Amino acid sequence: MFELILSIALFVLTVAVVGLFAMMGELSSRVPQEDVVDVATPIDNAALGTAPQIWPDDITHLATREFAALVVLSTSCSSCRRIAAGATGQLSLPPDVAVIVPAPSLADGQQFVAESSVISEFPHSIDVGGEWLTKNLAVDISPSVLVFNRGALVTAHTFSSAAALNELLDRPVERDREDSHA
Amino acid sequence: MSEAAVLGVRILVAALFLHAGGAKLFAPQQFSRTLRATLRIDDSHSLWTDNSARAIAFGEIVTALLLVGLPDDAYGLVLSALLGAGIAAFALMARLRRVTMACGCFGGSQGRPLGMRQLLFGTVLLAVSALLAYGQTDTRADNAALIVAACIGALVANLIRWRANLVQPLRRHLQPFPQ
Repeated sequence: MFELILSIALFVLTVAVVGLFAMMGELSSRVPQEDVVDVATPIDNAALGTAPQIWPDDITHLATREFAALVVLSTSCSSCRRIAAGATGQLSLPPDVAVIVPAPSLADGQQFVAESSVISEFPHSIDVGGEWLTKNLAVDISPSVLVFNRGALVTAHTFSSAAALNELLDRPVERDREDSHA
Repeated sequence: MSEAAVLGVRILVAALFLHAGGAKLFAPQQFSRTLRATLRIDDSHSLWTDNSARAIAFGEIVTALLLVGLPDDAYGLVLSALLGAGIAAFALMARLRRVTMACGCFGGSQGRPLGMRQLLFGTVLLAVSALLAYGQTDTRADNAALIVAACIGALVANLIRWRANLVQPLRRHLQPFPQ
């Protein structure tokens, strides 16, 4: 009997510990991260090498560029909202960068773009239900950045701030330019 | 199925429910947002969906306790099957209504959108629980040991879930030397 009481006490403590971690996780997701450059990680299931046959209307020009990048900022992720509002820093992006906004509806996407001080500076498109991204590139996570070479997906990473995105886009573009000059 | 396998499945499912329930009970916000988006409930009813998320979390915790605390009874398995059916139905509805939010099933606002994985998990949970409930046999299990095993499982799952957040403050000290 004593063992059973002890085990139930451990059960209650476990609930408390799990709950405490979840609360800390919820709070930490609301705090801007200062050291964010190393938070960028590759997206494992992205369909690298795939070249979508159809592109959203406002960003079709990316398909023909030698190097282009597509930033994915969803209406449903809190990090995307912070980045789109410029709360994590200024974006200093190379040319041929566009933004795609997965949203449950066109109206939600348009509202997200209207509220953003960053997205309207770039060509952008709204991907209703995230269908184009998931069907063509197997990307269903945001914030993320996809780099294309003549329309084919070359790299896919998640990132957590403007600084991390600047760093991510700096490296592949510079490296690719060096390759093309060689 | 052997007694050991049945108890192993019970412990595993109980650990998952304990982890999911404990997290949602204290941090129900993301799951509540996903509930509102999936069931198309207005944001003004957030208190209602927050409390619904907590009620579901409490149900998961009770199910976990029944699964390992009463291993000779089918109550835990029946509740587990009902929760599995609920998870599958919720994931299916979210997919049909093109909800792109993270589930928040284990607390926190990060993660992949609600979809196929939850649908598959719910279906498998329903099938396994129904199978075990149908073939319910008497066991000589030590209830206290089973509860402790489920707690250890939940705590390990918790560490795995939050490993990135735990390691992140130390990451700058773990970088390789510059070349």
